[in-house]
Amino acid sequence: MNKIEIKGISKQFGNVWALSDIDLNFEENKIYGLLGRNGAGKSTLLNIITNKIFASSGEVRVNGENAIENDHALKNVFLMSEKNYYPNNMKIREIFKWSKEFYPGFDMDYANNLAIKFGLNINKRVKELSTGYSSIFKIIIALSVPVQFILLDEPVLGLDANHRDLFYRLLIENYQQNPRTIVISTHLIEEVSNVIEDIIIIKDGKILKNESVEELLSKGYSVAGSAAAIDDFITGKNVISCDSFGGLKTACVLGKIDKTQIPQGIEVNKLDLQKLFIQLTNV
Amino acid sequence: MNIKAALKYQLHDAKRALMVYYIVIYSLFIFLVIMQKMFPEGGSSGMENASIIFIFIAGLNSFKQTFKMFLQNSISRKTLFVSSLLSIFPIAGFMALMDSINAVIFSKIITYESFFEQLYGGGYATNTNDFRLIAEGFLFSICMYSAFMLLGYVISILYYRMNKGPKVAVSLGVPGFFLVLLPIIDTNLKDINILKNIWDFILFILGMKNGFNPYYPIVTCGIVFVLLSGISFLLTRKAVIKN
Repeated sequence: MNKIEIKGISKQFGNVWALSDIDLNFEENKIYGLLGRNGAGKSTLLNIITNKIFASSGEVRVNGENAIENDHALKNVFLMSEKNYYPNNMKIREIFKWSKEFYPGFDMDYANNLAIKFGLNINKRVKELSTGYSSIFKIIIALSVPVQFILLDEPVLGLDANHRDLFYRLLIENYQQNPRTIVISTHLIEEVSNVIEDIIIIKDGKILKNESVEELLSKGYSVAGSAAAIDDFITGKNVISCDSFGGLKTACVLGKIDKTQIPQGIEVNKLDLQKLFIQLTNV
Repeated sequence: MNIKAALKYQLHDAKRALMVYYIVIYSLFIFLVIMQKMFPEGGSSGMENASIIFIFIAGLNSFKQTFKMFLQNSISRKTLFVSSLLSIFPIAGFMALMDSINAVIFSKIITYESFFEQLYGGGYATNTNDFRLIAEGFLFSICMYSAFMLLGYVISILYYRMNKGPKVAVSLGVPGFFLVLLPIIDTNLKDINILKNIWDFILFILGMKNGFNPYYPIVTCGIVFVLLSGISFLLTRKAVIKN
């Protein structure tokens, strides 16, 4: 089975452990959300997987092969980095051309088509692009390369709401037409929650959660209703967040709900992923 | 290893710089022709010196950007190392060929001596177009250019790998050693004759100590190339992306 196996990966920068003994698998044809606060170790992990930096200990295997300095294994993984590693003076169309050289299956027509959809001028040089368009050209390359594992590090950085929406639609469309493993590292949890199947939460260089979104969200629920009714209902429960608006109140609660015990006037919904994330990573 | 694409990228990178360089050289030559018409007793020589400087600077500029581009495209450091070494030969070969042809053409139009002829001309019959002189000059140039390009490349990796402190220390320490410390040592320890010995050693490795032998510098460049290749490999294998 095709997968990326991360075994006991640790990474030390000076006196700081950015990653501590990470064990993780990215399975075939799944969309993962890699979530964590700033400095949690998400980019470090993605950079180690793609051989951009070296782990202090542990190993990464791609389809069973050790990924360190292994062109064959690395050819199956593409990382869209948050930072730009393309030459600043190069035009986007030249970058597409070189992507085709390095990945012979690079879909040039698809890339050009996406550039039109996003309104990206491919005759511009990298240094002439805004933050948003800098993310867009990297997104286009990531969606056009024929690899099994696509890692996206902050893909929507600087994108406006329209472009973010377009990106998520194209990502799903691309995945449906060409199923592969996609890992999205992002801060925009609410937006990504409708796209990802599995969630990995990193905190202080350690894996805090690694399960399906469904499984994670089934660990709690949210309730909405009048402030008095909600206050009454949540008494004695493990509440992770509360929001009030006028006389209405919403609360996120951890634990199982007995649907027969729900008072009238209270609406029960799925747990809010972002609120759960904040609660899990706040302490 | 995706050597073919990696090599193609590295050569493409050098193509434009080479084009600009030879446009400058030919412009300079036209200027020299005009000067010679105005001052017929004057002459020119050794444009290959400019080629050595150019190829050294090309080497200095060839690591950082290519390294990032290759890692972005999932190309390993091994492939980067091999393709970098392989790319040196066609670039150095092309320049050596151009410079050899130029030397023949220039010497027919103006009073001109190639760099090789200046150094080792004494060991040949006095005919600039002598085939042996041209062939050995070509061989000398290709070896010299390869060694200098690799030297620039190694220095660029070394600087990429070093942090700010060591960078400053090396940047000040190396010239400081050769320009200040070494002359002081030489002045104070007259018995050792350190500068004279260094100069003798340079003449020896350039084949100019006892007569003129152009195969000495060719062998020297070969040894330097092998040593620098080893250093380059060691420096590349643990290089990481810096933000």
